[in-house]
Amino acid sequence: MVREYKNIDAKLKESLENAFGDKVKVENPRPHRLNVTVSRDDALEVVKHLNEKHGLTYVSTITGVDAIEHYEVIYHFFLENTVINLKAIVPKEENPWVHSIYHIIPGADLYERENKDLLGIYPKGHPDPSRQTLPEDWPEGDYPLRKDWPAKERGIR
Amino acid sequence: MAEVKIPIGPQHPALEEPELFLLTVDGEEIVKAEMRIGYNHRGMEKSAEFRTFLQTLYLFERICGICSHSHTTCYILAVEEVAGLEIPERAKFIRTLVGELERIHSHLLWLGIAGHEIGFDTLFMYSWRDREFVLDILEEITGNRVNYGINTIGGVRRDIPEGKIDDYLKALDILEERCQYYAKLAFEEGTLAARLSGVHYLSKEKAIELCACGPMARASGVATDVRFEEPYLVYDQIPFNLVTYDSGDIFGRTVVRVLEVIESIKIARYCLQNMPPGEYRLEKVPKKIPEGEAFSRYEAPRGEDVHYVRSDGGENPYRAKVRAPTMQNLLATMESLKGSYIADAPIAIASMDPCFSCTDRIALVRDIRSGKESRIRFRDLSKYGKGGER
Amino acid sequence: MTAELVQILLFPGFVFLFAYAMFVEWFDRKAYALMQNRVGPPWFQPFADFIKLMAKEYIIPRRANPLFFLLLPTGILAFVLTTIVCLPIASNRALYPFEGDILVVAFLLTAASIVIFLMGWFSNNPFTIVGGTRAISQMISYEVPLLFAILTPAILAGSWSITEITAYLRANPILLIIQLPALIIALIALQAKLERVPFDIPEAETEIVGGPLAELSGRGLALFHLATDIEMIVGVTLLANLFLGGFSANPALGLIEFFVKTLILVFILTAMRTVMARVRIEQLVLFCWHKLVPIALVQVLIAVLIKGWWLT
Repeated sequence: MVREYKNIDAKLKESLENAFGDKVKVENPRPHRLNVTVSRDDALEVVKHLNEKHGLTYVSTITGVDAIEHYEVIYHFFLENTVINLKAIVPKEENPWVHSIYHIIPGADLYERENKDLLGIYPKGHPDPSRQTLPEDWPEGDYPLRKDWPAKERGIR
Repeated sequence: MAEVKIPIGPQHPALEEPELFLLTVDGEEIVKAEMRIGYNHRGMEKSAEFRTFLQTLYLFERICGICSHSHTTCYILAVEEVAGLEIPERAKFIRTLVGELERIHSHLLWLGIAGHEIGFDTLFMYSWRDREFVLDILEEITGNRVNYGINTIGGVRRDIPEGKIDDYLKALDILEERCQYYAKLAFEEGTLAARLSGVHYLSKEKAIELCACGPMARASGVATDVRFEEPYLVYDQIPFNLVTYDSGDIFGRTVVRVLEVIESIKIARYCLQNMPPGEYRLEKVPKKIPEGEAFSRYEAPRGEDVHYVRSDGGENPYRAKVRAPTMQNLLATMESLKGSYIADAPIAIASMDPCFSCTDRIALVRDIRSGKESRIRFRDLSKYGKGGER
Repeated sequence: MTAELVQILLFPGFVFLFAYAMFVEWFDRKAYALMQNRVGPPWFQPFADFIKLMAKEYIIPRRANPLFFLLLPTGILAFVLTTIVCLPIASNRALYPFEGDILVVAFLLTAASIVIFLMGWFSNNPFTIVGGTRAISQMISYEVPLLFAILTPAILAGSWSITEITAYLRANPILLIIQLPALIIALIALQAKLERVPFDIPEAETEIVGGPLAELSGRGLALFHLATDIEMIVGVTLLANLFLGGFSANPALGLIEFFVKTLILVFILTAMRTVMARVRIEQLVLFCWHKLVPIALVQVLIAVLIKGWWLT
């Protein structure tokens, strides 16, 4: 007995490509997985599109990655048996930021604050981006998850 | 009476782990609930970058003592997806079996704690006694009562012991009978229902809006379960039911968990009876994982567990992200706390089955006065343990 | 004079009550443990706990009021011990029976509850203050049904002295059946007075970490615990006198009757805390005022009618 599952990968892919054209790069590495790559500025629009057209409400988590040339903020959404990994590319700059998706999906609150704490990516438009994960006396501008963070000196083994 | 701020935590008898919930109360009613997490932040995601994939596996085993198998399985599914490994069928069955036994043990543990929070210690003693059946089975299969360490890249470390399956089935039968009795008790016994009904109400809309997961969402009538939505391991072969309840309160969460234990017993029994013969791990597993990324979801006892692994082709993960179910449920819990009574706060916080060790993941102890970091090195620790000699 | 001093100090006074309090605490804990499938403590455990606590430092928190912090643990013990003067213990006669001593016992037990509130208030800590206010709200809920319940035998016997009430009821045991509902109400109210599960709302360790007693340590805590244990004995002795026909005049028989009757009542209280979960304060208030008080009033009415038509 193997259960069958509805698969909406193709539909989502088409819808995103029609709406955003060249701005998005959509991959479908395996069934029920959709990897979407966009620039930072378009990420909010993509989330809005998914929310309004497809009823997206669930965010699993938001991963921040320091990919040397740039930062990546990956939103892991889940929509009707499909996981959408929305990758927003954030250029390396003094104060990196992304648009906050808090107003569309309130469940993203903690993850946006966690990324701000650990990777220093500011969620623009978040009502209360106060410190969440790190202690109160942790120095400002000290982001442990960045690759240039001196981990060995700070005692991570 | 003026506004009084009642701190629940960082140290509090109702919390097993340090976390701060600051409740502003007006008399007995909570008017504002704030929280501060991070007391248990151990920097596991950072330290994973300095470990090989296999070492990280055993590091993630230690994220949490109760859902350790969930975290390692979730992580290893992601690693195996990146590496393109197909593991033997028997290994999948053993992982599923251990995962379900862990769910039974976790839910019974929760039931006991919930009983303790509402001052019903008899329930606590009984459910923890029955939990021993599962712990004994787990000990025989994996060698440990907690932190099983059964997973390894490419399969599992140990096979099911020879000729023991009948004993396990027998123990599961007794456990099922007891759980049926608890389920009956939960529905028929008045005081438990009177104490838990209507408490910490989470509506279906709020549950969806705040992205609740696991038994918390299911008790609000949201049919979400990764085992159904995106079956991993062998869940697409096993017949079982998705338990939901639509009362949205703590009573609903209790019912959902007790019924889930019964479903888990069925799954565990199916695994034991239909265990395919053959190898239980791959002979050769590459040390270096090819470049790539994977995102995996796993239905942990507390809800959806999520891991993201990226490899740059080396021996160490480039990035390993962990998101425990408790984190996902925190917002919904805080939202529902407003307007309830302080008498209900401990059981309300407990009702999401919180695991803050999972939620926070740096062993940096900072001396606040000097601002200097002080850590206990392993050498010093072992010296300390031996009574300060040498 | 010497004989009375011996009675107050040794039997049935302080020493006896102390020893019996330890035994009853053990009995309560052991029965509780056995019903929960546990082993339970050895017989000397309450005594060992008491000695250990007495040997510990008595810490007075900086924010607390030191005078009251010293006075109150002694105060509560004094209140509950004073009741023995008016209460027949293991005999059919109290040390100093007088008309109205039932009210004195009720008053002293209420004073002991107020001490718990004061303890919370003067400890000056959010948990203790919340616990103290809860103790007061709980008190005004259970005191009324408790007083109505003990009013029933008093009306039936037509006296305000425990000794006389007991003697009258012993002579007319049929009346004991009539006032059975009052006994049940009194037992529930007593459980609430003793702040035990399901009515341990003021202490509720998982919510407010022990409530009024949160700041207590060492000797103070030991005395408080002792006072609570003695309060339990006083409570069940009062109920045994008023509702179970008291004890025999014969010293040996009286002692046996005392043990049997009090332990039965203690066992009921223990069973109550084994099978129930803690209720919320507003559930308790509603339960007391909507259920217990009407039943108690009907019971009192029945007592008055019986007294008026049948007994005279």
